[in-house]
Amino acid sequence: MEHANMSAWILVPLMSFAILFMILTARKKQLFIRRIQGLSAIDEAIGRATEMGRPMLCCIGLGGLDVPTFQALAITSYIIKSSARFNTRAIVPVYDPQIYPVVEEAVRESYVAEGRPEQYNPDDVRFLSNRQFAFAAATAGIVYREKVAASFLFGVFYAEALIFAEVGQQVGAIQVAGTPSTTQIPFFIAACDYVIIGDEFYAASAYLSREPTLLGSMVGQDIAKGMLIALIVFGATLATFAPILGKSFGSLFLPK
Amino acid sequence: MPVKAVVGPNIGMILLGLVLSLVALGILMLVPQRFRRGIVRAATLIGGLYAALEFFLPTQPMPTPDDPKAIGNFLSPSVVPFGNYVNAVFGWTVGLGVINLCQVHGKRLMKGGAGSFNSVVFFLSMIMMTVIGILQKAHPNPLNKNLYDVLFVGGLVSLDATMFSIVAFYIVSAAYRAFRIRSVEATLLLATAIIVMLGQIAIGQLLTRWIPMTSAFHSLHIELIRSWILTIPNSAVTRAIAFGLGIGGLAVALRIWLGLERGSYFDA
Amino acid sequence: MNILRLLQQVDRRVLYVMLLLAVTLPFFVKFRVPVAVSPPTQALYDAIDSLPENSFVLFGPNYSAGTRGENGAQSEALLRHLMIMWHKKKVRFGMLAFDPQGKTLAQTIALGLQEEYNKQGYNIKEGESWVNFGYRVDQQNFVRALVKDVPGTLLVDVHDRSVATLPVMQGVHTAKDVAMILDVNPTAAYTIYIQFMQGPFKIPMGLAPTAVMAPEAFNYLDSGQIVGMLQGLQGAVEYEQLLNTFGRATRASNSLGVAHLLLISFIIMGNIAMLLERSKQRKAGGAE
Repeated sequence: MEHANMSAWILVPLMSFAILFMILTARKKQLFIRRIQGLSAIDEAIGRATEMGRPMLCCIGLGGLDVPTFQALAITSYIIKSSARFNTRAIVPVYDPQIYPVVEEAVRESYVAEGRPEQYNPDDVRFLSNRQFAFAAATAGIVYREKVAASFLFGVFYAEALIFAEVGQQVGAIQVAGTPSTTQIPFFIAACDYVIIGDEFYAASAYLSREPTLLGSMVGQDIAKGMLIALIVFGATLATFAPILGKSFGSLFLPK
Repeated sequence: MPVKAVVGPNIGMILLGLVLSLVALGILMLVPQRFRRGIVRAATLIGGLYAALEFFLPTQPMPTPDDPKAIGNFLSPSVVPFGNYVNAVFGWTVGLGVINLCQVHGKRLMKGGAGSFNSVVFFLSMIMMTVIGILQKAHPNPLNKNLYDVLFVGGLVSLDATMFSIVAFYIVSAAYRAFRIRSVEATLLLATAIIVMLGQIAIGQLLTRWIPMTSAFHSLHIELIRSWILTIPNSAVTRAIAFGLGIGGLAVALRIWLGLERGSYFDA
Repeated sequence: MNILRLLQQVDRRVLYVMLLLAVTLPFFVKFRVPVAVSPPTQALYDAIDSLPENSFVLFGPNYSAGTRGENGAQSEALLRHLMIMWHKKKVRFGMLAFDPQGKTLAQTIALGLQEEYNKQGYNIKEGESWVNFGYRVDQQNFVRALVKDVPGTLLVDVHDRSVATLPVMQGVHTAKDVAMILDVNPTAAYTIYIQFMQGPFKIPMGLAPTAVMAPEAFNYLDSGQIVGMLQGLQGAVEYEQLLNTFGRATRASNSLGVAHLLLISFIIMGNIAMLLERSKQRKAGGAE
């Protein structure tokens, strides 16, 4: 679809309205958010790295200037802020040169926000390569050499996902992963300690920060999902009964 | 605008883009830190508005297979040049990445000690690939072409393939470790995995080949069960996850676009 | 160490050596076990086979050496069929890569097949039967321009010849002149073709993803946005069987089978050992 069709015309504004409405509502009242085990494990992993006195790996995947990578960066910023309190080092490998200055700035500001600007080491935010497997090899090398104690894999991943996860497992790192790349989720589940699945990835920043705007947005997402489910059930029911409902009415809901 | 002019080299446009970028960068550097976020947010809002309007505004006339040039609205013609501009920005950022790499490895070389050999390899590879890459374009004689082939096909291509092959080994160790029937769900997962694996290889398919395709039990053929798993339950699940991700993406995009994002570097 | 515990904790290096043997040894054994052709493979074969006379196919070798094992075999199988279609119906194809290695890898395959089929009198010529447009950056932006003006966007082929003047491009001006899109792609970037070319112009599209990426693509197959699909190396094996040829996919299929069996054996072995150990522990607990 290059331009909006009728479905996009109706659904996108409706869902956007639900999300924005809940953002405004959340500023006035407290919203509930269920426990997401994988995200709660982030603090445990930081604690483990601190105890062992070894660095952490925060890999934001192979995405560029896109929404999933910004989300991954928001999670990474949270991790760095938390680890800065304990003086634990975080290494952030970067794949896409477009995102590199943004990552550098985000990491630096995370240290500044915690009042530890001196802990920021420019060499720990490293552009490695924008070739998929060269990046994988270089990141795996860092994991081996630095013997990272915790590995956070949040972002867009492809075939290299298992290389990161398995290498982390081999050095005994505690691993937390989350990705919007559905095909890589099984690999993370097989090799990581904690995995967040599907749209939990986009719930992460709300869950971690408990910021009302983000919590509202998350509840808005759930309402939008509810709309979609209702629409699917409605459409499937009508399509199922289309032959009974009559040719002219029923055919509207049958695939052409 | 003719596409040829958009895609082909256009020195005027390149220079204009370069000058405008430098002016924008200069203004951003001169502005006090506290106002910079506001400028960036305004630019994000305008950029997002352009993309949203281009997508939502009615297309006149509607594109048809018979008239493919009739695509879009009054904003559509600038989509491709805008994309080219983004590509040009990308080109510049590659330079930033290379500078960062040189800094990290340069420092390590100066310090010496563990890991400095890796840095020597990095500098040698980068210099060789750059020089020979330029040479084979500028002077495409057999020597330069062969040297380039040795580096590109013999080096990069082989190393790429090797790294991907490692995934196969890791799959074996990860699957062996993870597929344990510790619960009902894990047992289901294991059974499904084995059916899918057996159903896609000839040796696995032999197991149920004795069932006649004309019998009432023909759907028990392992490849047909595999096909059903991939087409029905798998599609349902991936669709559901994709819907959730799509809506999540929409929410984050809206927050970034409207300057509502909080946490990390988005805070004012 | 207890044997049951040992079977549950086989050293990963032992697994690696076993896998290495499982992959390499079958290459020395020449036997071919016939495979059942899956519906997505059959559908793709049928779609290509029923292409109209003198039509033009856009072929996307969008992969690099990393996935050559799967995508290379798929490319070879599909290009074989396209060359057979040139012989039968004068179907032409153009290769456009959005991966820098894709153009070289596909060119090597196409030249090899051209030589093979020309020995059988197919009279295939680069520039007349097929063309390699080479590598381009930014797929999304490029495809959006391409649909409006194919030769004007492509400009030159891999040998720097003007695309507009090549005999292979005769009658190909815009997306509506493309009869089919075939994308060999190990990433999710095939959706760009679906979004900007297949959808707006209702062009049939075939996909050849890696086995890992195939589950996600079933949605597009189900919705009809993709007419058929080769699922990883096995898809290529099935396709070669349909073409009745013994290509690189079939040569590798035995390795694929033995490696799968090895993996299944290890998983079952680990589980049996775990269950036996548990039952032994339970009995010991009951005896106390």
